[in-house]
Amino acid sequence: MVRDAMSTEVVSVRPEEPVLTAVERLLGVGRTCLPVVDDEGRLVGILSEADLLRLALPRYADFLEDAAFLPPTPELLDLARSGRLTQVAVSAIMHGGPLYTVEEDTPLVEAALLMLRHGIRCLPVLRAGKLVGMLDRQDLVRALVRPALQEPLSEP
Amino acid sequence: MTLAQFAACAIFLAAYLAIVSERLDKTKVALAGGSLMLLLRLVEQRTALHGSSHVAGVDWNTIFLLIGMMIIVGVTKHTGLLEWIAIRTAKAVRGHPLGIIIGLSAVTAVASAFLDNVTVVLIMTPMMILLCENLKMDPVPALVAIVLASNIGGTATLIGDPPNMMIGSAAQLSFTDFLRYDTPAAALVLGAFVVMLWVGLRPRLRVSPEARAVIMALDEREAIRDPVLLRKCLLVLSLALLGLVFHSHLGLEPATIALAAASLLLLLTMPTRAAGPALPADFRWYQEIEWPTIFFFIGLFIMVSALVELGVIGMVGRALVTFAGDNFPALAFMVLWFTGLAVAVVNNVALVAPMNALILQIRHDMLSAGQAAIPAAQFQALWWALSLGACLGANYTPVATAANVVVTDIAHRSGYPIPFVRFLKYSMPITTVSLLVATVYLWLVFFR
Repeated sequence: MVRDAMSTEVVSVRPEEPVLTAVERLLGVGRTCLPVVDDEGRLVGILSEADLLRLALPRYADFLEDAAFLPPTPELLDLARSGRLTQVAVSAIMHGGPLYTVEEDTPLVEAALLMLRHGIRCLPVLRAGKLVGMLDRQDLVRALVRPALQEPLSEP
Repeated sequence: MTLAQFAACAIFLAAYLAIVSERLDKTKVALAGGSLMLLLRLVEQRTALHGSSHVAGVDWNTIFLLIGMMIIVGVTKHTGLLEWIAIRTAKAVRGHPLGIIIGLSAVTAVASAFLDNVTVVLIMTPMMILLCENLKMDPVPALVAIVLASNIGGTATLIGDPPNMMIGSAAQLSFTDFLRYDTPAAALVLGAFVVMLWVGLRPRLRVSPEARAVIMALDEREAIRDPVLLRKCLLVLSLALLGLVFHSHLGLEPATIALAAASLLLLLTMPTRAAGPALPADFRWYQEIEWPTIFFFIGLFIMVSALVELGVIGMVGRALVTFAGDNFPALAFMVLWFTGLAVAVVNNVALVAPMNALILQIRHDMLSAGQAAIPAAQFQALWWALSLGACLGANYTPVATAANVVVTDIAHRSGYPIPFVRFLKYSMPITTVSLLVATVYLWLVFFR
């Protein structure tokens, strides 16, 4: 079950915080996404690496089929100097729509299938609507190999 | 008016209102309206689907012409051809901003004359934003120009715009008829449009030489994703065009040419081995067919069949002819301006379906009444008035056709919202001038 594989030490970010804060936390914990949580501990969105990459690209790039012909201008990926990291709030770029979530007693098979089928990297784990943990692909892989190992792996 | 006539009118008008309100998807509305008319037996299914001596029924010629072209365009759009042309054009005018706006508008117009407008603007819109961002200029006027050019270009040929496909099929006008009458009109309108762009935008566009240098550094060769596929697409497109030019001489319908060309392209592209990672798998190409559009047409055709079968169209036609009296030119200009203004609010396909039936009815009435005063050659003016009105009028508002909606949507999501009123500021004068040019053109060609 999800309970046995999820990480409970959840690092989150609030929607009104600047993107820079989120990036620092993301890199700090070495994960691929952060849950976005409001003051009452409710999950309001997910911020993933993809959202950050999209912020770095010009917005029209989403509509191009290919970008091989783009000019090699330095500002194209110059997110740091553009000031957007401190000006843009997490809520502006997070994935806030209907989110895929699991409960602690969700079978791991179901969680794995969700991830594969929808290309999700991490799933928030909820208990009565409140965020209690995160389950990412690495957690699942660890749960997968644990029985094959002599000694239990240490949690990160 | 009989109860059946009243019911058919009520269903049709309710469907129209629902389509105009945009509260419901237009395909669902058209299918529901068509089904309801069949359920109530306002028209028999056999008549609606296969036609009868006096009812056109579902126009399968238009449907399969659309499907064939959708497949060809759906494959071609992945080759990077339009991106290549756009970059070449921007470099040919040496990154000059007004040159880019006019050049890309011209490219959009020519491409839209042969390919689906939505597909063309889907590619040209991000390309235009890319160029404008690198030139550090406001992309909004340039993007409105793309919309307008696309609809003007679509006017030019039988396959340019769905209304033209419907008109060509209903009136039995060939691809070359469209080249003879609609292409010069579209070219004149495009000329007037370019002059208006020149006058309106020239004083406002200043960019630095550095910005222009960025444009000159774009590498169009990188845009071509699959040269082999591109050669196949160009071959099939050329064959399709050749076939369309001669279709009436060969006794073949345009839909036959389009379907044959589409099947050839599907056969030629069968092995996906050579395809790059960006290309869809083989079966995906059937998904390039826009089924909602196809079913929208089918629903509309069924509803219009009921209106024709019950004589509603006949009543409106007789009223119109009486109203116009002996003044046939007035009737033609009424069709042009009524259609041109109406498509600002009603989807042009939804308008052309009943208008086609109406004009067929008027032709039938005039022939049976022995009004030989109007020669067949001059009667054609009504069809061209309908075509020019339906295609050019689609430029009035940002919601008039799918291409307009696509451009404003991409612009919005790229950070350049085009407010309704700002679109109108550019579109109203240009569209009104377009319809005036069409009026003068029709008068010169048919009534002078």
